[in-house]
Amino acid sequence: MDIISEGTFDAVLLDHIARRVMGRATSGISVGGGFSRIHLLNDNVANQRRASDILNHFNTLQLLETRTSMREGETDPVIRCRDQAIANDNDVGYLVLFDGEVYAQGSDSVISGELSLTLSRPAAGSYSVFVYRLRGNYASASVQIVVQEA
Amino acid sequence: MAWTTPKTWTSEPLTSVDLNTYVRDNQNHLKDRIDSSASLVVSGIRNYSTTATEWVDIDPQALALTLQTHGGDVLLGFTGAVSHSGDNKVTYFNIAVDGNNYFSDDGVTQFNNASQNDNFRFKPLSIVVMIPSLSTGSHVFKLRWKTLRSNAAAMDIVTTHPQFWAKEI
Repeated sequence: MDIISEGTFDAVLLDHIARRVMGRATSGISVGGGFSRIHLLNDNVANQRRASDILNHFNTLQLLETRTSMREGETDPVIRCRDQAIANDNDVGYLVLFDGEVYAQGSDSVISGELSLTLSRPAAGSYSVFVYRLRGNYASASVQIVVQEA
Repeated sequence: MAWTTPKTWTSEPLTSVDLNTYVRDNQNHLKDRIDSSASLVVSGIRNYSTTATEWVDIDPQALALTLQTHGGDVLLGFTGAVSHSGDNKVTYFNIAVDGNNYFSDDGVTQFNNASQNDNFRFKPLSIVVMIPSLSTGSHVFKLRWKTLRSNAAAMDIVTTHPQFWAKEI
């Protein structure tokens, strides 16, 4: 079964959260033609709900303003989120892509309702930082940070 | 219009019934088969992409052909450009006829980047498939793909425009 949403989301980011949240219940995702689809291998009601939540709340977390352009050697950029949706979460998931390749991934703690991720000493290139809830509505958000040579 | 095995006349009268059956209707049958084709060209503002490890339609709406057939063979063709994100990863392609994979296992063909330098670079892909003796009626043909874990396959529809066609022969 496919769970479908209007809009063509980033395939790598959508695949990451779908697999992290749903594990082997999904065979992956597809985007294109104006739609994004999560393919379910196990389409029980709970998994249908999870897939719907991932799609319906994709890119809906509110991130605090982050520098999106910088030079090497400048102060490390910090990605912050104080969205009400994560107020009661213990941790959130994250994925960092560097020039399209996986650079880092995992979970980070939410402290006093705030997530704070530091991109440490970034090299020249393009970073995509994707954060997402691991429970509830699985809301997510991403930001791109371009680092230029010093 | 069904095909009727042509009659061999000897010395009997030439009747309008026979002419209609063996000449008109058979010509109509042949002409219908010649005219029986369907094709589409896909364009969009975002390319197709998938990470699916099981067969999925590339686009269940835009990459689907419906063809009325007359019991003959059907030739399917596709030309497009595809890429994927991981070196030494494989993207497989298959044809779905009326919702069923026509080829088992890993489909009809595959696309593979051996080098990291080829990641995300579009390469041409052409597929021609013959489906023999398809039953008379309306049939839906779709293109499917799947890939390997940790790989995102893509098909360009922004700068180049894939064509998918079907023709009864």
